[in-house]
Amino acid sequence: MENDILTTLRSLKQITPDSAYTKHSRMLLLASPQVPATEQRVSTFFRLSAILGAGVIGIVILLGGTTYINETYSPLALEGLNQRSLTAEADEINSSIEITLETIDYLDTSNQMTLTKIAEIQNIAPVAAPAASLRLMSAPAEVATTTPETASVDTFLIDSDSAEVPAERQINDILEQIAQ
Amino acid sequence: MLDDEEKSIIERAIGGDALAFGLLYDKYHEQIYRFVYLKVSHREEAEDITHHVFLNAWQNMGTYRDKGFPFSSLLYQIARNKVIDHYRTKKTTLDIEDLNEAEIPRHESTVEDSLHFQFQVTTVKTAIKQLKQEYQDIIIMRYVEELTPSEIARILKKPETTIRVLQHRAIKQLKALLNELP
Repeated sequence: MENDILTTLRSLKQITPDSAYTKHSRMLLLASPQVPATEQRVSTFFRLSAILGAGVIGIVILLGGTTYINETYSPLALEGLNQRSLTAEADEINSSIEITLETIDYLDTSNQMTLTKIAEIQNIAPVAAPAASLRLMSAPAEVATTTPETASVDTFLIDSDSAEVPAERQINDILEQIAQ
Repeated sequence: MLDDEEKSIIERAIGGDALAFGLLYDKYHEQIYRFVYLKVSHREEAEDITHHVFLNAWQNMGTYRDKGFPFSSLLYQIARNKVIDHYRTKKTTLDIEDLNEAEIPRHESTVEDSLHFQFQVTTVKTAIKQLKQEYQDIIIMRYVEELTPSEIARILKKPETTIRVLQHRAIKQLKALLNELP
């Protein structure tokens, strides 16, 4: 059986092309010009470049499309989960915290200045203004517990009978300066 | 391997010598035609494809580099690609049973012998057509063209051992198909 098959296969070698076709084909072939090697290389280079370029463009379109679809139509693209809006929100909170801290810092500094001035005043005229001193001695606790808006400088102004004393007038001036 | 004479012919053809390429055409066109014909089973189509195989080879001779492979391996590779392109572009396929028997040359002495030969050839061709492309290539190259496994390995760019295995499977499958045919 196998030998029969092999014999038949070998007999297929008898298949030959038509002689008229062969002559015609040969003539046509030899009459056609050969493409110069440089031209072929240039053509191959451009073909490869075109394929590469198309591939790159395809990848860019694919990635862009995927990102767009993901951001636009994805069920996960909820407003609350949007990274940009979250960042913006966080920045806003950050800046408001900074403003509050600046305010606290400012108020703290002004309190410190007040206390310093009061201490200076006490050093200048400890005897001349006993009433004012007494009030001022209890003042730091009051200043620390009250907000700048509610703590008025009037609290510290000396309104005793001895307000005509130069030292007391000086204290009043300083306190007014601080209030300004 | 290329003999010296063929090497010098190829070099002349690379240089654009049409007559040198004509010699290569004379040497190889019959086997390439047979290879194509057994795969497409239509004379005109086989002629057309074979012509394009040689035209392609001639137009690209300028870039041909001798890598120690026979020149026929280049032609077989082009022919395989052309046949694939042919089947890719062609939507309708011809039934091998409808082929004109006159396409196969008759070399038998008596009418009876001739008829028997025609029958055998048609049967084998039908069976070959049912094999997958790789097996078809190997059957035609090994048993019709009588190329060595190493030559087929170079053409199909596969190891020689793989070719031997594929050859064994191909002939086994062909035998099974011939047994199935009426």
